[in-house]
Amino acid sequence: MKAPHRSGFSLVELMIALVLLGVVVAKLTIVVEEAQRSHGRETARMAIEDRALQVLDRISYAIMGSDRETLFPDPSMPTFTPRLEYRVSMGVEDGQVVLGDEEVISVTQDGSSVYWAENEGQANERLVVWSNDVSQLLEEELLNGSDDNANGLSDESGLNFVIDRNSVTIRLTLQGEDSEGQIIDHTVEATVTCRN
Amino acid sequence: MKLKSRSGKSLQASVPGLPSGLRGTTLIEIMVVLSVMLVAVSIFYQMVLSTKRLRTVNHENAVAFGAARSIVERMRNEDFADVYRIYNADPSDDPGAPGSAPGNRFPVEGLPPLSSAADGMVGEVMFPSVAVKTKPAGGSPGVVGFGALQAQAIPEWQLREDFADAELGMPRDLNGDSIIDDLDHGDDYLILPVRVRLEWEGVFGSRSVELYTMLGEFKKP
Repeated sequence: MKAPHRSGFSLVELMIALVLLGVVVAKLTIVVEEAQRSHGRETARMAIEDRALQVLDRISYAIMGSDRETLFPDPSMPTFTPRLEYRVSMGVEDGQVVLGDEEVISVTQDGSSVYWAENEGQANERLVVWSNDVSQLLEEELLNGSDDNANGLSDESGLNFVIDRNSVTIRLTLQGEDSEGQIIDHTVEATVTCRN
Repeated sequence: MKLKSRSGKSLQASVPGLPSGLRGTTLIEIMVVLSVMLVAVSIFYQMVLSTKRLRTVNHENAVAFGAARSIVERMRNEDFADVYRIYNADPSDDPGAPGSAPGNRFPVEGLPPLSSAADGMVGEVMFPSVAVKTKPAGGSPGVVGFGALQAQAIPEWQLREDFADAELGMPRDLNGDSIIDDLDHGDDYLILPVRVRLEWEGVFGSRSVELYTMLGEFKKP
């Protein structure tokens, strides 16, 4: 009895297929890994940027609603402050502007968090931490007494305020890590004018 | 490729009578599969690239709008009556010394200017104003058409109520006299329409954004 004819791959076909498959798998692996790395980096950067913009918006709106006369301290270039106290105008009563409780936006003593507080240090204190990712110094600034990032300020903190008449310039650097453990800095800046 | 058995009979995959379970995959089939895979991978990679592109565009937009908002806030910081003279294109009417005000053009960190921007600036503040006259150096003012400014001549800008720009809400009464006229209201405006335009050379080509607002004077009681 004769064995049935069976067709299959020749060695040459198998080798060609394997080589092609190997090339494709290698390329695919490189592409997927690079895409994953890129995605991880971008996601981390996007998260830091979103958080920075969110905190900047909160600070901006708080200062916009404040009364210029209540801002304290009152630093103008080239000095800055990492802490700003203010009061919000609540309206007018009997021809007089009614101000709200004292509020403050500042960084914690270790410089890593930015918070908003109302009646700070008092029994009825309210405190909200807006971010725990504040950089010790603004991006590209070094603690050396010089203006390293050419913004007119020296050794400025990761959150700082500069006042020019009715306007406040806010600069904020948040810091985080991407998926590969690389440090990411993102700096945002805005100028707002007190409306009251 | 043609395979033959020991007896010389062709053993092509399509040979009838050969049990299908014993047939291998032909090189053509493998190539087809690989091609499909390559197409799928390229589509995936295109998706990753377009996501990255979108991210870059969004970042540029955020920087541009942030800069536009900041310049508007700086305008709010000035005495309202001086805003037009400080931020218009005419350096001769600046409060204080001529040329002392920032003017209508400004740079934005992180956004490279267009190659066509001779002054290297990205942003421009625009009012409903037109250049209607020139003051030739050493001569009396002569009336010329807008855009026909002569060399060596200084353009004279007028803030006009009859300026046609629907996005700025123009024409409209700017000085509160209920009349829309063709006079210069640079000294007596009560409201000031403002357009801030930014044009820059983005990573994916030239881009622009515009922001519109209306400034007015608000005073505490």
